[in-house]
Amino acid sequence: MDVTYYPGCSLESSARDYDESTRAVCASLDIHLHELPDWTCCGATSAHSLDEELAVTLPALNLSGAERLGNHMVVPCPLCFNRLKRAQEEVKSSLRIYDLASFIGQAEWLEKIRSRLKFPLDAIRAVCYYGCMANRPPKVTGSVDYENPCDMDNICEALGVDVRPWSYKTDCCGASFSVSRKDIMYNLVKKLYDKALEAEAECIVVSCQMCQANLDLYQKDISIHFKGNYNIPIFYFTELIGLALGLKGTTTWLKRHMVDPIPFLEKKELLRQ
Amino acid sequence: MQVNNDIIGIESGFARQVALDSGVDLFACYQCEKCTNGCPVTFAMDYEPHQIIRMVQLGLREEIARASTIWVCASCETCFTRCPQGVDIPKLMDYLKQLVLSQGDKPAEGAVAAFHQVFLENIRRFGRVNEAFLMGAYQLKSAKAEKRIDVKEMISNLKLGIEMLKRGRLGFIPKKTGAKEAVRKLFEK
Repeated sequence: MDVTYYPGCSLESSARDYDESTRAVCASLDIHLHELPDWTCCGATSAHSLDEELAVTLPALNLSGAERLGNHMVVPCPLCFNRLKRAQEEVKSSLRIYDLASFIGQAEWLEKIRSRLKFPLDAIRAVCYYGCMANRPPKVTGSVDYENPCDMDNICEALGVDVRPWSYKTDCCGASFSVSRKDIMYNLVKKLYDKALEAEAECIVVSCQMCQANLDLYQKDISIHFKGNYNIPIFYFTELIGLALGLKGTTTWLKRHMVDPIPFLEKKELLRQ
Repeated sequence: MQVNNDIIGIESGFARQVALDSGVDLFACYQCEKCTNGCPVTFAMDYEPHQIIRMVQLGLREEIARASTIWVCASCETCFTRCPQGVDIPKLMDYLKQLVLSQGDKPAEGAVAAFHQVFLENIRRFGRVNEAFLMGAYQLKSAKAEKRIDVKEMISNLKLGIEMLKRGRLGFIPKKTGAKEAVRKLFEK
């Protein structure tokens, strides 16, 4: 299947692991990603905060390019997905836009994942954390289970993961407050750690590079700040697919994490590369 | 009875103007507080979200301009998703941020405003955001906005940057996009 791929700015640097694992997973499932030529920034939170016109024109610039290609468009970053969907409403584009987790969460790909499973992840207990932008507001995202999304849960279950229920799937991680109001982000993320541990999860699975950054990059600082001792690996769901399907490169992606997941996976005897 | 609105700082017509300009139906709010109860960042706010709506209805323009809340709102969309009256509160918060800046008022959260400004400037220059440039520019701009340099914060960010660099998670060379000029044109308006 041919789809247009809009990576978004973070996937070129702080979320390279997400980009690399997305490309590898899609290739292994016969999803042919065609990167949108000359894509530009969606404007993110800053555009809609300060300039309502740019909040539409910046993403719309990419919509026109994607329409010319004709295929559905897949977007790994939930914030980009959200901004592109909003612009679509304004400019009345008929392009079909998916957020990556909802795309791979479709029955067709779940079936393919199950049939190609090499190393089931039964030994891992996890919670799936979706954050805000893939689902809210449902008027924009088209999400049905916006208070309790299940795409990543379904994917992880297909991989054999012991997915724990919890009530914090769509709570906010603080997003860009990691830069401008760290104290707010620290409080929000600490709560997520505590609730994940309370649900007996050993790791957190995410589909958003802002969530990953806030939960992974600052975990040590948050531990120090609250005099805690958090050591919770934060995986992209694509990395877990890579691990379970035995895809080449999985270790390279995982080595980019700040909270080193290698010892955790070695203990579970899940590292074979 | 003649009421002197100036004494209590009420600006009549303000609410109507905000509703008209922002497109947010703020008169639909009946203060059920569902927004506030679901808001994840009320602990860092000076006014709760439902109070901001009431303040707009009452025309308390100056209080609103001084409020942290409009900047502390994380745009998580929980309130809008759950509001029984469909009041687009995050959109109202964005409108109020823009109102503060267009009036030339000092934003209550200088660092947050500085981040957004630097972010947009980054897009204008490169077409895409370069995180290393963004962080550098932000440090300078926020120091200027807050009129102080947080050395501890700078060192901690620098350390994080080095760790990210070691892991290949920070690129210093902005990636090229052929649509850079098209983006610039959007900014010229």
